[in-house]
Amino acid sequence: MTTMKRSERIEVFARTARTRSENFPADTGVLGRLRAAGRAAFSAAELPNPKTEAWKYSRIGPLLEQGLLDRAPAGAAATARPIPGLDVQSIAILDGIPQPLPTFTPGVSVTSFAALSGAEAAAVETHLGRLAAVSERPFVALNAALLEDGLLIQVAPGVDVALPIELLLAQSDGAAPRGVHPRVLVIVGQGARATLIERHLGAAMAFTNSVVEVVLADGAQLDHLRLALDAGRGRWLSALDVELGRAARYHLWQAQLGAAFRRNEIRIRLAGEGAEVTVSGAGLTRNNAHLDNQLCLEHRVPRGTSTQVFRNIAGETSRGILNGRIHIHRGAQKTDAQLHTKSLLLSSRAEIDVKPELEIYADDVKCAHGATLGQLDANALFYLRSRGLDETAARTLLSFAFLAEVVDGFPVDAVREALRPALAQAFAAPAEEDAP
Amino acid sequence: MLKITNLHATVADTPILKGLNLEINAGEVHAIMGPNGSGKSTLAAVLAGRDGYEVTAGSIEYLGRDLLALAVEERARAGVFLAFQYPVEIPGVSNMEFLRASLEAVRSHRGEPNLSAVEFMKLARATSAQLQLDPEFLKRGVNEGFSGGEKKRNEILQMLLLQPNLAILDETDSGLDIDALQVVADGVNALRSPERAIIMVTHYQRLLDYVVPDQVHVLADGRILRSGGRELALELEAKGYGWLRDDAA
Ligand SMILES: Nc1ncnc2c1ncn2[C@@H]1O[C@H](COP(=O)(O)OP(=O)(O)OP(=O)(O)O)[C@@H](O)[C@H]1O
Ligand SMILES: [Mg+2]
Repeated sequence: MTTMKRSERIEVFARTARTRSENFPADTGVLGRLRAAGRAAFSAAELPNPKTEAWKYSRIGPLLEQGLLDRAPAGAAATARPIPGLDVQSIAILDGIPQPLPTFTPGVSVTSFAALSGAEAAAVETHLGRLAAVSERPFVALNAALLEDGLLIQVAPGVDVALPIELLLAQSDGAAPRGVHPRVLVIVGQGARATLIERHLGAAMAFTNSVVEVVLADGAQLDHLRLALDAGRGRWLSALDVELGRAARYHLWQAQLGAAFRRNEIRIRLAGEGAEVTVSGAGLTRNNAHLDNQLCLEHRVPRGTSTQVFRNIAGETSRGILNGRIHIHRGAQKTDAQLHTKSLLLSSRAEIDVKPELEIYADDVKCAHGATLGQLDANALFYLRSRGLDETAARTLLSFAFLAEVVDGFPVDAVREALRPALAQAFAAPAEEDAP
Repeated sequence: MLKITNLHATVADTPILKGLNLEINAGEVHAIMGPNGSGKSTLAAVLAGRDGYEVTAGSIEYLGRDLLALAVEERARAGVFLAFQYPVEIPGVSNMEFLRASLEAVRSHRGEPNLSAVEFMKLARATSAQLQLDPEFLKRGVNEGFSGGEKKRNEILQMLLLQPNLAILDETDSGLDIDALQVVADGVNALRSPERAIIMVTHYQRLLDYVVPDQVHVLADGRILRSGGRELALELEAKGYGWLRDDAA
């Protein structure tokens, strides 16, 4: 298998995907139609190749390995891993399959695509696949072609949901390679407010190809935390497509460790005037892990603001990628868009690629970006060691300090507190010999 | 406790220390004075094990061990403490967290049990109070935005927490107001004991009014040019360094 040429591997992958998609029972409902559209789009699409600009630094090799299109075995379970001290209403998608739902606080409703009715069906009809169109990205098409089911999460207009909604995209504990395709549509109604804590759990050899669409109506606010703190052999490709209405606010907080493959494709569209977006990202890659963040902020209308702040650390032979595209459309006057990144290399063989891309078609805008790349301060290291800290402890403390600027701003106390030990553990993980 | 023999050291291939000899016994306090650029901080850096300072000849024996064979943190754990002439600012690392990590490292090396969070807080607060340093400083980033004098007091705070065998104070008195000098001197005197030794690098004999040294050395051009008692400092204050050089010539 490993001796196959790239083109053959891609051919096998595409054929396997098509066959699997065709094996789903015929269905004329939402799911059936989405799968059919996905299958058609995937068949017509070309998988990214080394010349595909958006995939310049992320090769799809790790996604093509054997078994990564297999359906997960039935009856799988996963060990629960709640965040200590965090009260949530929790939704789990295990190996791509939505799990039985709990009851939610007033104003929150969650329904699987297989069980939609009435107004919910109409909402899904209107929005599903609108932001994450199957025609634009082959893996979004693959998600549509192969999804088992999906979830609609709705927050009713005007409701302020105090209890955070936790969304678990989890791998089951089994060791079998598999490919899973979680799908979620989040609609936050006019003037409503909620906190969503999305967690990517699992370190096994599995391909998780998720698509999450978020629609914020006028005046809605969502604090969206995305935690991916399991390094390991997982292949995680996550499309996140967000649309903001007038004066809506979307705050994204990401804390992620690299894995065998981890890539976030985040597209945020400011479609109503006066919308506000903040994105704060902390990323750490160790050993030969990979973490790719592709962001596209689309200012379509006037008076939008977006502020993006990233801190990335790469150790050993790992690789971090940050592509920040800011697209200010014609007519989007009085836009204020900022992108600031700081990167830290812990080893001369680690690599972090940062690329801001500005496309500005309006003349009365503020747009700033800054990127710095550094190493740990030798004076600070010496100072800490001269007080008895060993080199690893000193480096860890300084690396923490580097991430703290982002992590300390996370809005949920229990999450912030859980991040420290999780990151400490990641820093403390031994450096591995180079993988062959 | 400390025996430095014929120490030669270079920085960026420039010879700075050129045959320095110095012996300090437990229980003693030694003052080192000398012109700017004469090598005082270089000596301190070599003792603490800073990168980039290459010892090209000579030896340093500390409590019967070869100090130069120890890594920076091993020296600290073995009881060597350097109060920096220019303490480093480390934003994002809280002073508290730093002090705790440091104390844990040193105590566990000594085989002492770790302090609980509450015990540590008590100790850190009490020591801050002793140095008239507002406990709020414990919450701030290490030395972040501290005034010159506050940084120096923070060095002494660390010294008092770590209780080193050998403390090297590199111009800890510079930048202190008169009251702060008294406070810091009290801190140093509190550390003074038959088992410990202290080296004070200073330009001002005033410190020596508060912490009376057993010996005073003049370091010039990478060597100890003259050693004497307390009165040598007064003589230097009156006459400067020129006459010593002329004497030596
Ligand atoms: N990194 C370096 N590269 C080149 N020269 C250096 C370096 N560090 C120190 N020196 C030189 O070494 C000499 C001794 O410096 P050192 O800091 O030890 O002096 P000092 O006696 O502590 O002076 P001061 O009283 O001003 O603190 C100076 O001439 C200084 O310029
Ligand atoms: Mg000096």
